[in-house]
Amino acid sequence: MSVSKNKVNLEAGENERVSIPLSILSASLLRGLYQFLRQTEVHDPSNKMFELTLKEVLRPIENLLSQPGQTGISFTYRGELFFINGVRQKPKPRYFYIYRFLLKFFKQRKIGGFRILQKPSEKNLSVFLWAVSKIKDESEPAREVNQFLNAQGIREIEVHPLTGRKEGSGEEDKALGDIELIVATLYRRIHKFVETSFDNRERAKDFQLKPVQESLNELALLAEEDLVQMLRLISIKRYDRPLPYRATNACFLMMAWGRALRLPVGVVIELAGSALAHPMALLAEASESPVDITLRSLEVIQSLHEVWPLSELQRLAVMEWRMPYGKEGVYEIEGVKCYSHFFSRMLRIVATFEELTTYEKGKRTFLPDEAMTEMMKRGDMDPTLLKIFINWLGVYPIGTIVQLQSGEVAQVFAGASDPLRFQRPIVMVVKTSSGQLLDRPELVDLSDMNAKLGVYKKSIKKSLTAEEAQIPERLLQMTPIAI
Amino acid sequence: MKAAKGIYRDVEKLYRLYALYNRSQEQLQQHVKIVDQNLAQNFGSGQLNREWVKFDFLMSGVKFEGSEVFKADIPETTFGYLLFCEGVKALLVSRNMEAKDLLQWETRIREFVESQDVGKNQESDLASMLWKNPHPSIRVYLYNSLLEVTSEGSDGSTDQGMGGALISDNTSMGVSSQTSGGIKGNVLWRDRDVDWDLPSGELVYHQMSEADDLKAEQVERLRAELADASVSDRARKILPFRSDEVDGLRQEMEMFDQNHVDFNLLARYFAVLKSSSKLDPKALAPILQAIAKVAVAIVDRFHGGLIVFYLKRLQMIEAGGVSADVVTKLRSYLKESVSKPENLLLLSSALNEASRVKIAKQLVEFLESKDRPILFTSLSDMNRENGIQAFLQVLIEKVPDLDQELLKWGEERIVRLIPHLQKLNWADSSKFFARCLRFRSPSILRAILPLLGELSMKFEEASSLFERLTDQEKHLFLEGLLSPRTLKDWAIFVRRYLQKDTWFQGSEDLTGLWTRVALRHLGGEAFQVIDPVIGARSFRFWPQYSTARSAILEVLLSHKESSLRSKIHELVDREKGLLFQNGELKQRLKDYR
Repeated sequence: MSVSKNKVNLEAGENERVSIPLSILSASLLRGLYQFLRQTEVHDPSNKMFELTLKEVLRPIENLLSQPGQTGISFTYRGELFFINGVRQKPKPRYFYIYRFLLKFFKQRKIGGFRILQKPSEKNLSVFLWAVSKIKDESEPAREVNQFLNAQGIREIEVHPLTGRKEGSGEEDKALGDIELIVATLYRRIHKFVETSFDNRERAKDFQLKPVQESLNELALLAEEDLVQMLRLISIKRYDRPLPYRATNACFLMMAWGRALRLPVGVVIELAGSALAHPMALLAEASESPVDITLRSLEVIQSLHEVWPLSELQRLAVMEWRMPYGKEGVYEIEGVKCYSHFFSRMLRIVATFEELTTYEKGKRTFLPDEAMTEMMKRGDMDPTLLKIFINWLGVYPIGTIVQLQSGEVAQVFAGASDPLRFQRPIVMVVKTSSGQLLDRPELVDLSDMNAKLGVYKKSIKKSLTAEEAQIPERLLQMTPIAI
Repeated sequence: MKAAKGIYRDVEKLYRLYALYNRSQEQLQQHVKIVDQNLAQNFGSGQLNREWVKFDFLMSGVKFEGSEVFKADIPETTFGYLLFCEGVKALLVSRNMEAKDLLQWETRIREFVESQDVGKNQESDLASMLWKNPHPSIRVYLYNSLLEVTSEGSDGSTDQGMGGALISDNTSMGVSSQTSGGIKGNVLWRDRDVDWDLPSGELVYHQMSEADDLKAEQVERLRAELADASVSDRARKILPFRSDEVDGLRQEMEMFDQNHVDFNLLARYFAVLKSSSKLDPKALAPILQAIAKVAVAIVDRFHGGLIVFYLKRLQMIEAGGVSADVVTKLRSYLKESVSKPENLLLLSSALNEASRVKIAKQLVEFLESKDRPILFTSLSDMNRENGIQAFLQVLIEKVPDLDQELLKWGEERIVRLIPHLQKLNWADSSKFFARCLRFRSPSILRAILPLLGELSMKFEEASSLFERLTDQEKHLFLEGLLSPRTLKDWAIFVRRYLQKDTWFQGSEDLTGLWTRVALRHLGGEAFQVIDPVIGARSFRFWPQYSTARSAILEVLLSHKESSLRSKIHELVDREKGLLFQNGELKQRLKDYR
């Protein structure tokens, strides 16, 4: 870029004096890696396209290395988060597919990351990337790649193995356990915050609670799958005092849904915060009148303001979510027609789902799939958002206990591996067809087909209530044996 | 296309200069001026006849209406790439945007990104910051996964760039393109002026056809099918979407609308206040605090629709018997806001815009009397004719004793005001004009005289006024009596004044004008005063009032009214025989047909 008195030349290649934010350089490196490695899966190294894509990897490497104080580049990941030089790369909505690909690519090859000690030549960088891409069934792929690089005289790049994920060893449990522990800790912390706040509205600040916003910020860093897995662990929703649990569950569900919609992280946090606060509209036992709901909710919001401040949008969502959607999404309050905010409309869906699926004395408790059918029948929610919700969660949401046609009892563990077949999730079998409980649950992918017969190996017959299934909770909380 | 390219180039330029000059405002200022000139040129080129210009961000570059306007070989150095990475789908710039706005906005972004590089602001992200803090003349649409929802049968490549490298993660959310006829939900809602129109539910409508409604039986049937070992094609998408419904929702999610939030909150808060007679003051406190917060926000943004809504709700609860203290308190939140010079300027601009004038007129109703002349000056300075008319119309309809108030606006404003008031159908205009005459201000007098005919004045008053005027002013006075809107009552003044011998003793012009006034107001009767002046002789062969006679005859010769033609012919026949008179006039009299 050059500047004369009246003219600025924006042509590329003249950017030496313009500083580039580190986050952009890191994003650029991820993109470059994605472009190169994606092509290695389908093209031969002799393809000319690699000359160009290699430059796309090398350029951000050069730029990162030229930053003051940088002695090298470390690339690693944990859960769904990438770290470049130890700095967490926030998941950017439009980069999601890149994250997905790279995570899958490195995880499959059991590579935990790599380190570039100094600027590599184009040739050496290419050798390194191809070496990683060609990993197949090696027992210690990282060590073998490093040996290969050494043999080639490449010492400026080294890879390190994926630790704690070794199949069949106790370490896998530990790694999984770590994430589950973090999620569970956050769940308990958030639940405690809600329960204490609801129980002690006027003097909640005396309890010196950790600000809930911090917990929500931490929650936003977790992978969508981890959040949904937490919902699986708490799929039996029978509580003595359900409201704080409903708030916490709604918060997790909303956080995951917002993430799935790829809304900006801050927006997702605000949305999840609304879900957490939604029982404020129920606490004071307001009638169905919008005026009453407003007044009573506001009293609660105000009484908790010091420990649990809400944004204007969150306040609105808390006061608005109980309004039936009607046919047009418009409700009337004292002669004024208001169009429900999409936060409120989403919240109505999540809150209703939680209400229907949580046990409450004297009320019918719905199974997740029954709850969704009930919500569709009621017709008092935004139909578009409801369809999105159901399509996202699947007909059998994670955590649903189901009976397979072969007679086994299982719990839905993860969404379908093929997004078009969301009725074929991955399930965790806990009971055999003869009714015997397994020592440890086993994962089964319902989209697996019998190659000879051309039919699915296993299918869901129906969903079951916890009472019908008779599964001990500890079994559901065990890490299953992988597929 | 060229203009759009130019605008986007300036967006990039300022961002990169900011980084290049390391924030040195001094160095940046020269470029700010140049960018301002460029923006004026590009928006004024006629190529971009729209209020907002939208640029779409792809990884590969920036597009305007599908055509590439910017591309860089090294994308990470560009502003577009930064926004793309952070989840910005499109950037919209208003034609009112100035370079300083752009620089300020880009500075905020740069500082935010840099602060994150050094570990600050970690709890937030740029996309959320932009989502929550819209700029009046720069908007961003943010990415969300509904953008990836594609039509059935499409290949899934949307606007994600990189040669369609991406595959949607959400192909399960297939969109049904089989809409059953003319469904366009929320048209009014989406098309509203977000900076001014009230985000009321009135603007929302869904024309959901029966066929698209969610039927419980259908859902049940699909669920049953899903339990089959083989998956039917119909069951592949449990709940199909219509493209318009997804589109509407996507747009809602793309951009935060603070006005929507504020409107819904105010509707609720005021509804509670309406029933406040049943509430104890303690219960009222949170409502008042909450309203105050929203009021400050709408005043900061100066959203015309919301301010009017707020004030009208206030009137409603006042009428409903809510304590005066409460109303005063609530009014105080907005009282000063409208008076701010910058807000009066905004109001002035809105009054002149066809799309905003309706709300602006409502807002005028709530202006304090001290602010009205300031607003008028602003309108007048900018020659906003439509705005002035709209403004005065509201005053006429809503302000009691307006004539008295306008007289307090000062000489200069009254002079500017008079021609505009004359165009309006204001019952009290003559009362006001008559009062203006008492000012004895020459400028006001000159402004009012052409309108005199519309005023009702007593003979003595009008005569005395006429006597003290200069020739130029008399000229205006008499022209005023010739206007089509002149009251018939002025015939009395004309008749009586013409009885004075002085009427034809002024300049030729004035005598001519008096003749026209006489013919207009008195018709044939005018000849009783004209004839003696024309016919007066000196020594039998010379006209006694030569100048006046010429002036009167000139008028008569060009007079077209058919009812007077025979009388004029009679006079002309007589006068063309006069021996000693101007040769040219004599010839014209002879030529008269």
